[in-house]
Amino acid sequence: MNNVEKKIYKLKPGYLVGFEDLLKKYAQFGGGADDAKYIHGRSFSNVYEFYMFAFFIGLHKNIAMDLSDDDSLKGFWEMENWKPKEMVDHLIACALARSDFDMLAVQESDENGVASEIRKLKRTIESYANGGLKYVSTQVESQPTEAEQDDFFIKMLV
Amino acid sequence: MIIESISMKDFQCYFGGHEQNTLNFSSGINLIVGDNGGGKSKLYDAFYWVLYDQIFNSDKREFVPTKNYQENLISDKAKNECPIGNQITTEVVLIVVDSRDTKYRVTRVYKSKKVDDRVWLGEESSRLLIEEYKVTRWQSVPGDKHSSILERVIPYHLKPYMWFQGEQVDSLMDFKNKSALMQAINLLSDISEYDDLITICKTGSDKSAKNYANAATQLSKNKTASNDLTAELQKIQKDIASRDQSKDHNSKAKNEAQFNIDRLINQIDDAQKKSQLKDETKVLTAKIDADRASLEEKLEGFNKNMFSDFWVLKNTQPVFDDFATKYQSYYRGHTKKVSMENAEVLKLPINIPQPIHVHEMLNDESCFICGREAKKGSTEYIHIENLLTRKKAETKDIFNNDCSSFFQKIYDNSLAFKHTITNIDKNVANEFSSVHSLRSSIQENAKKLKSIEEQFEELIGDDRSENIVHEFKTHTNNKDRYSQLLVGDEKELESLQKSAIQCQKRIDKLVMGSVDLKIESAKDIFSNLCQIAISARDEVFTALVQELELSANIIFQQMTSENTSITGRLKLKKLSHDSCLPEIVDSDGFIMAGSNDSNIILIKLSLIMAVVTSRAQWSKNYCLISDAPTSKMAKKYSRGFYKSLGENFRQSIVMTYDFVSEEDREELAELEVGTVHKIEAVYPGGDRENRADLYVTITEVAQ
Repeated sequence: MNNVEKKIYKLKPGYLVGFEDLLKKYAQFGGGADDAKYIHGRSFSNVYEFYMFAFFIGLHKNIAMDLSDDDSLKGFWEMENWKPKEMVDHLIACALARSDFDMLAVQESDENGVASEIRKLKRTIESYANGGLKYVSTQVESQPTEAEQDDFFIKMLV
Repeated sequence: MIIESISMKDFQCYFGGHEQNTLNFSSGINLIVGDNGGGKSKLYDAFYWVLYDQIFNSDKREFVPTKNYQENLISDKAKNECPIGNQITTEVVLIVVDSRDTKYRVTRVYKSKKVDDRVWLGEESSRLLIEEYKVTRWQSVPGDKHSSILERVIPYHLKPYMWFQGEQVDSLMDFKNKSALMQAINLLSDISEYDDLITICKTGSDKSAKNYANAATQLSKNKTASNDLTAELQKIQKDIASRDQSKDHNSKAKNEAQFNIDRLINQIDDAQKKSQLKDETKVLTAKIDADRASLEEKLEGFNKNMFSDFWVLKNTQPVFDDFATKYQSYYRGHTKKVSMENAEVLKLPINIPQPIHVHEMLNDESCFICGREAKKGSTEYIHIENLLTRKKAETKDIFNNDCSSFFQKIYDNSLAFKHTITNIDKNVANEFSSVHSLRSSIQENAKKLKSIEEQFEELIGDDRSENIVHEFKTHTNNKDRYSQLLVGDEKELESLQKSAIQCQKRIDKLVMGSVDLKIESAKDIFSNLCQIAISARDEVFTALVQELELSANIIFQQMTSENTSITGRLKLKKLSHDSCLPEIVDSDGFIMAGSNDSNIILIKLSLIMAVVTSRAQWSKNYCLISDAPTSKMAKKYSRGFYKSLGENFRQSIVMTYDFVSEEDREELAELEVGTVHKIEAVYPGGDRENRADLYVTITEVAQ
């Protein structure tokens, strides 16, 4: 595993602190078996699941939140720990597609250059994921009853 | 004797002195009306306690003596108000008048001392005081005369029929139970003397038969053979007796089964329909439960499937296509750079095509890509052969961070998702369709369930359909089984009787000369006497049952005369020796349809009244006391009961919740009513659980 790959997997993309309640409401924080987590009535068994869902929804709805360095983002877990692995790689592929990440340049860059490219990737992930979270938040507010249903999230994909 | 009054002091819920808790009675029906929990049963207890020194323990469903009940006899309110160290007394006083107008005052007293809040030191037993009213004052009656006076208030043998609670009626008149019928028959007759006569005759018959057998053996030409045959005959007779018993038992069981079949046959149609509906309900409920579980699982699965089946990637194909373009561009740039570094342009990456395919091309002497011939040794052949000898470009020094493997992995991974992503739409649609089907199925089955519930409501009667169907099957099976057993009994009896006759003939053949005539005559006479006694007893018994049936029918007709919904007459159907079943039959003797619990209770009350109004006319001399006799009876039938009560009994005291309302009491005008007392439980604090706050008010009300 080369330096760039390592650094990408070590990324801890963040969410805006304002979405913390939303994440806590629908995703299980902490450990526990998957089945038990679903029984507790939460739609996502981990924060990273909700985060990936938000990313893909943001991508699908083309909602990229314009984030700046002043925004307070909270990271939660390195991407190398997210599951399923194939989905994480697909997320990276999508983020690479939508970012200005220079795949050729990064191979010849020094540490600073690599860091700069990786920042672009991270910002793209965060931008769509927080865009997705914003979309979910709006849906929850506008359809509180539907938001209690088990098919609430799947319907966003349809 | 006729009861003039009863009064209580601090007895059970009757808190306070005699002056507050007195009920005066007259001839005719004396009603004590009140709601449940109003003190009716405790009043019944008071009658029982003053005469029998026993009290009905409703928890144990049995009568217990005072020594086992002790301070529980005393009002909780009185006990609560009693200071520690003081003694408290409970009393019940009954004033009765005999046929010569002699008046007796029967008082039972029990005392207990309050030692602590909940600790009482009571007397071992109660004390009984009986006084006779002489001219101007009460005069004590000596103890040795007490029992005869008490026996005159209500004779002990009549007590079950004259003093009873509604719930005892069933067991009291359960004539399937041999002893219940015999108890009633014995009361009406001297039939037990016939039983004694049968016993005497049987003893004589056995003895004379034995004497005859001995005498015959003495005259035998082969005594050993005679002894053996006699022993064999005795064994056969023993078997006959045993088989007779078995036949009697099986006959009774078969008749009972038939009775139950007749009883249930009217209910079976509805029951079968209900049972079928219940089965359908069971199936539908199970289906709904299973569908709900599947639905829940599927709905919960929606969120799981987003990750396990990658549904979340549903719309990512266009983005991946963009990545593929970007990767293509990267790959070109990356490869170009590598080639330049190696001064060689590699059109195909190393090991593409894979060496195995290159070898196949060489063996086949043709290019699999362009299809041209490549004969061994030709330029084309060498060109293909060179593909195997290419050396991998040294790239590690070209880039600071060679990401080609990583990017290729990312590309390959996403490429592999192509098929999955294509199918997500179909899979999600299938899942939604499946959820929709489940919801429709649940809805449809719930609708069917509702329809079944409606059908249920249309089928009258209480909901015991499964029991009825099961019961019906059981009785039908029993009837078949006992019929078969009876056939077996009869065949065996026939065979045994033939054996007995043959055995007797063989014994007789061995006899040389004649047995003493006296011995032979004694045997025959006792045998005949035995038959006569048995048939005489049977005739008397049958006549008594018929008389009881006739008397009960007269009362049953009285009770039902104003109620057109009850027709038919009462029949005591003989089951077997000394047991009968009461049933209502039509004019052709067939059991009537729709005999419900109310009708059965009417029949049984008719029988009770028939017993006490029979030849001895006990109903004219004693008071009938009953607690809630109509409790198991539909309201419309109870009127007939009261009417019959007034017509047949000189005095009756009935505790009931009938006629509690003034509107109901208007009906009393047509009955022979003596007094009506209304009793009400009062809890001044409002807490009906607090018996320490309970007293009863007694009001004589206008009829």
